[in-house]
Amino acid sequence: MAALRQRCSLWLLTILMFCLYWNPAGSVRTKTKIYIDLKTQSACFRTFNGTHQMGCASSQSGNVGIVYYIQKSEDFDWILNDGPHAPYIVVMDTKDFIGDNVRRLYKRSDRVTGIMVISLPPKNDNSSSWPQDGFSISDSCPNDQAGLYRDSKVYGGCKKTKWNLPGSGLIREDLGIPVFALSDESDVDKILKKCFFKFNERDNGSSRGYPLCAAELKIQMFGAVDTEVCLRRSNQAFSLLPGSIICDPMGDKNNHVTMMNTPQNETRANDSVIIVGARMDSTALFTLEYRSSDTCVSGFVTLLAAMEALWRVKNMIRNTAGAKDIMFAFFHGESYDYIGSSSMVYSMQQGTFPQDLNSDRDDLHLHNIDLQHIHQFVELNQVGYRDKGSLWMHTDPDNRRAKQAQIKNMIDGLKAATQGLNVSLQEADQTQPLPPASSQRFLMERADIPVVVVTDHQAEYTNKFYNSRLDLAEFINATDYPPGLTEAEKYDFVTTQAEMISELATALARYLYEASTGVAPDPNVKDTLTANTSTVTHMLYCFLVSPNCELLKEIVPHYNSESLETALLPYPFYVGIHGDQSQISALIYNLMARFTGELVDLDESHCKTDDHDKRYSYLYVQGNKVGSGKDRQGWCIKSLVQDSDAYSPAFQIDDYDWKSGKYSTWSESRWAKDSLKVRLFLVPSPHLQLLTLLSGLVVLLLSMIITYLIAKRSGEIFQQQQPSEQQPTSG
Amino acid sequence: MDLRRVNNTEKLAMCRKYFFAGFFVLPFLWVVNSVWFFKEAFRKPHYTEQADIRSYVIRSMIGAVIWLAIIITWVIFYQTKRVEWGSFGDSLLFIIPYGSA
Repeated sequence: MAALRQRCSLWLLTILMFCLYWNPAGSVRTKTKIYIDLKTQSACFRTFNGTHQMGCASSQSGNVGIVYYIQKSEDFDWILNDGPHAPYIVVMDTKDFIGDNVRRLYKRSDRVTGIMVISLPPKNDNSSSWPQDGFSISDSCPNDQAGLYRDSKVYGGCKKTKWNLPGSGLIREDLGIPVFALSDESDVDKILKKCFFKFNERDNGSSRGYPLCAAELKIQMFGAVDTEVCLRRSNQAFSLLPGSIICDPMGDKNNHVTMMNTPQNETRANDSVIIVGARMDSTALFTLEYRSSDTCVSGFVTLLAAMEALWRVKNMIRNTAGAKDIMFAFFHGESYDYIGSSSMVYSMQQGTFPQDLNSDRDDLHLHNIDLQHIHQFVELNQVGYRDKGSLWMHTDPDNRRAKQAQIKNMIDGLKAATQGLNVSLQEADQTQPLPPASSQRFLMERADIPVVVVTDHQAEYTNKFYNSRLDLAEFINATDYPPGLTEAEKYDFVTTQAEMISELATALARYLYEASTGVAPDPNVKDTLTANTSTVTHMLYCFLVSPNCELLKEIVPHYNSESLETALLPYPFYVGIHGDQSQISALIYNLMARFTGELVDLDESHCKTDDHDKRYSYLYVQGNKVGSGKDRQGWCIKSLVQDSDAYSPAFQIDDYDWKSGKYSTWSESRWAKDSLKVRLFLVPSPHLQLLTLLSGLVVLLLSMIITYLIAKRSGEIFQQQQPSEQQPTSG
Repeated sequence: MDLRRVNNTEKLAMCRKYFFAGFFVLPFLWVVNSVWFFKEAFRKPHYTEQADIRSYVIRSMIGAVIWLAIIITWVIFYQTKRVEWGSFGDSLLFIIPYGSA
């Protein structure tokens, strides 16, 4: 009998194991039946400066609220005052997501615990999908406290001209609630069709009853308070422990290249370097939703095109006696209190610009450039739009008074360079101060550098979406392709903006030639100094539409090629944290090398900086296609292109006074991989929840009582079998 | 260790050891002392060493109560004032609070 029992149980066990492994029903975790997860990871995150914390965060386990979709303006009042199921998670369209509305909502954190913005590309060319008056997360006077006019009674606080009228100032506010952007079609479908319209929509003004659809928004940020506290806490904990560093300073790399290769053992005269500058970055509220067209792309693409044209005549310039050096500079992190330009000025003052090498050895490196070596500074800001059909040149009134003649030369020279070209440069009002510009940081340390800033606005910004995810390429006509083009055709199509940029770049190159050599270019040289519209339109495509483009594939090392091919969106223009270099600054570095450098016949292992002449940098990249297959030639490019840290001096100086406001103190909180999450679920009425809890307790109580009673009377209920040694066990 | 199997002199020695050890900033030894020897000191019928054991137990209980008061005061003080203390408050932290001051 026992053997039979044993065999039976063995069989049962085998069948059980079999069933566990082969499961035709497919086991499902309970939580997938309760929650609907959204894909979005586009969250507004927490940032700090020396004195405040800004941005968004939720509680560590997430903020829960009933979903409500705002469709008309009365809905705001209903949510804030009348809705009976507070707190709410508000869903709104892009056209409603403006500073005032967001402020109304987040300031009532008892009634609103989260916001989601529907941020889909519009289906038809409908301008009513965008906020009517524009949207920008910067304030109306961007970077005012970090610029030249911060202590100025006349120009400070934008007393003369409010530059950024749509500025909401959200970049500097502590929203305190999680805010997500929904840019995926399926996410929007889930939240509207499956959640809001099905369960939560009011019928005829009165609210629906339970069950209601709720959302949990989680933005779990590690840091708090401000940069000073956050860094102190990061440094005091054991840095080997994961999760002990809780914030990182913002920063990246600046790129620059000089025309001349002046080594340290020659002299560099004072007032002998012309600087041409532009910024590489912009910013927006949501991570993964960084777009920029006018804010930074228009400026740096123009500069790259001018560089490419100018370097065609580099030998003529270098061989002209007394020619001034020309430095093209690209700054990163300018949206956050001029991280890049303040960093460059600081390193100039420390004597470590452009190369941070000690000069006690025989090897050559570039002669340092200090503030006194700067002859003039021409900066390109936003240059994508046109204001009254023209671009505008701005100067600082005090600077203009001090350097009357030089500034007049610059302005006349720039105007003259546009002759015969389809671009117009006019002077802005002379009593108006400089708009927010990287050159302001240079003027703060040396006030008599003649500065001209070229922009596409005469007074207020023409760009209604400065520093915003809505600064789209369509608005500056950079993607006005005729319908039905393939991607390859779009890449080659010369867009309207590409032509506009080419004209401006040509004018800039011609101006720089004359400003450096002192001689107007003769007709042959003028022709050579014409920007290549094909290259310009390629650059616009690569930075605004898709990085999967031939121009970028040529100038990256082979190990980066896959990253280009699998990129679904243009690379982001946000500065990011120091130590984690952005793709934009790395690609611009390589493009600069391509445009200004020479190809040398070295293979990959030998393509590196010479030990004795450190002025030149060597870069090994894929190169152009060979034949029809996937093979590429492989180029070794030798150039004078350098990069330097765009890292605020506040983080480099010991015992820096964080409250002083002297340098940028921006930092970003850290978060974990699963720290950003949105999920939807139904909530029953509080009565039902209470009923469930009470019935559970009653069941618990009853079962305890029954168990006790049974245990007490177990002798009567169960017959005790006396074990008997004499009975043989039946087989 | 089962106290029923230990003779009285050893019990007194242990109680005394625990009492004196508690002075080395070990208030839990006093708590253990009071609980463990409570029955011995107060419930058992009289034996010679009981008076001494009783005195040690009482003194341990007093010590434990004083410590409890000190700890409660410090915890309340720290929890309410740490954020105000800024840098000093942070230097007393062992686990950084994520996402809040």
